[in-house]
Amino acid sequence: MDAGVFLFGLFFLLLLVNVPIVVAIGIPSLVFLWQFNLGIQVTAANIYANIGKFPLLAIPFFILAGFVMDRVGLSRGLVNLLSLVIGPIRGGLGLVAVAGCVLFGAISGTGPADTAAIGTIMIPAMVKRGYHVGFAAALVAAAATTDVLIPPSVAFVVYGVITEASIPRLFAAGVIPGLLMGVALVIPVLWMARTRGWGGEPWGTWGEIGRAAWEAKWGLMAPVVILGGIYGGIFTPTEAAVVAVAYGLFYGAVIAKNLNLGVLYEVLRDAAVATSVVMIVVAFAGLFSWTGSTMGVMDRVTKSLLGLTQNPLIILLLLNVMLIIAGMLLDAISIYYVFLPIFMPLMKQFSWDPVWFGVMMTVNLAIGTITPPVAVNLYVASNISKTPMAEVSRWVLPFFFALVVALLLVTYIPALSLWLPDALGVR
Amino acid sequence: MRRFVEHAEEGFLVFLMAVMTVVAFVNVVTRYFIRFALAFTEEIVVSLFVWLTLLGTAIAFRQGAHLGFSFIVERAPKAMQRVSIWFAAALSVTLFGFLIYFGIGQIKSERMLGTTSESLAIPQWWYTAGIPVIGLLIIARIIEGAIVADRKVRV
Repeated sequence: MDAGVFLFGLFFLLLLVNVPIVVAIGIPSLVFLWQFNLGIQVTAANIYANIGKFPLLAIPFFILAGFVMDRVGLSRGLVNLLSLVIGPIRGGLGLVAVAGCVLFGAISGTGPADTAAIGTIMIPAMVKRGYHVGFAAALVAAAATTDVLIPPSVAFVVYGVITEASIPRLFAAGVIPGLLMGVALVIPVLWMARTRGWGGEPWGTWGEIGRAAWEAKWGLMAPVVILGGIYGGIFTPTEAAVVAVAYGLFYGAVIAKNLNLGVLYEVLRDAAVATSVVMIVVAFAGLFSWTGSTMGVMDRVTKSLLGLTQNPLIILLLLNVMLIIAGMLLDAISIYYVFLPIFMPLMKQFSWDPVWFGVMMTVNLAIGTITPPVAVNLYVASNISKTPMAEVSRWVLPFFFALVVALLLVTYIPALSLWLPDALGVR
Repeated sequence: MRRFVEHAEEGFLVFLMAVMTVVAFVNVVTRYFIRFALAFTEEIVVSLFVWLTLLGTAIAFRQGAHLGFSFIVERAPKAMQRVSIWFAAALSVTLFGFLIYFGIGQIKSERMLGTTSESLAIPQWWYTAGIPVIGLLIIARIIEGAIVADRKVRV
């Protein structure tokens, strides 16, 4: 039997019987390192090196920044302002949820954090106004997928580390696709609000809007500081993440005065655990990726893909279908490590731009956070709304299709990703 | 005392996260104002990051926070669910057991060769020691997490 079938087969089998992903991906790697004498003695050094990479340090700080900004209430100011400006339209609160997720996406680096930050405010608000709770939960989960594309983004950091693509360029390339995903979601929201008669909010007066904007200034300034710092050439992404944390802490301690030592302890703890869950997968998935590549397994998968067709457009479609299926079973980080060694030779063969390819793959994996059974955003939204996963999963379908349309546009129109970084001159 | 045993690593985890953040922040400030980065801080932050990941992994095992594909098992009979819990725990212990074993091997060879760290020139094994030490804690938390999950299935 082909060794590759065994490597992937064992991984898949362990996954199906609910072995945690990190273990399901680690065990086959160890078996192979041992069986084929690939240097199992250096496993500890390997794991150490996989985690201890300087660019990856942006991950804990962006996660912490998101947790801090949520906890000190920066998301609430943004939502208040948005409610006054776009709330009055039919289905207005739904649109506020989408826009809120996009805006908070420019502060936080992960989808589940965004789901929690906006969901805890918007899901109860929508339910109070007569929206169906399943709709509200599914919408916030779907809108939070934009967070993965809108910089800063933990996913882009991992992609950049694996492929050596420029992280600032990836960040810039994600902006338009992220906004496009948000716009795609507006269509089902408006349509469902119309058919079900979910109304708008009362209009805000100019005075109220002005006051809300003034109160939201700290939240609105956060993305300016983070992204302006990166593109003004002042900070590296990791430094920007640290500055974002400091910004949130300063706001909480000095301006909002809602940050005490107890809250600080909880925020640090929760962010550290959330970071670890990502990083331990990075460590062992990196081992899997390395094992598979060294044994030539990944090359053979690439060759059999090319054996099916040589047409790049059809191959792109195939890759996207593969990734959608993988997204139902796995988290984004392991998918990068498992699939990128297979895809990177294809990028070379067809001279695909690694930044555009990264954006396409990331849009796909962002959608994976709302495709059950393994769907972190749905899981968080279902917890917040106290609605069963099955119920939320039913409501998420129209949003899934809307996001797939956005994915196809990003796949077949590379300019959507590459125009902005080129216009900004980001390398 | 019981609280301490249950949450021993939590305080240390928070401490590591805080130190990492402060050191990294100081580094940004010094780089910007004095125009050079304190190179040794990078070594410290990266090493603390490895320890933090392992500590957080332990806590996540206790909380059952590691992501998995539970769809099929959740629909299986209770006996099967219990088998799955203990099978997953056994494999997890195996994986981290090997990590501890190779970690100790790594320490031995680093001590033999007298490997020192790149910028601070302290013995490399001081950093590596985190792997077996925290690894043991991870194993304890895997078992604790399995006991909790098993109890939930039985009631």
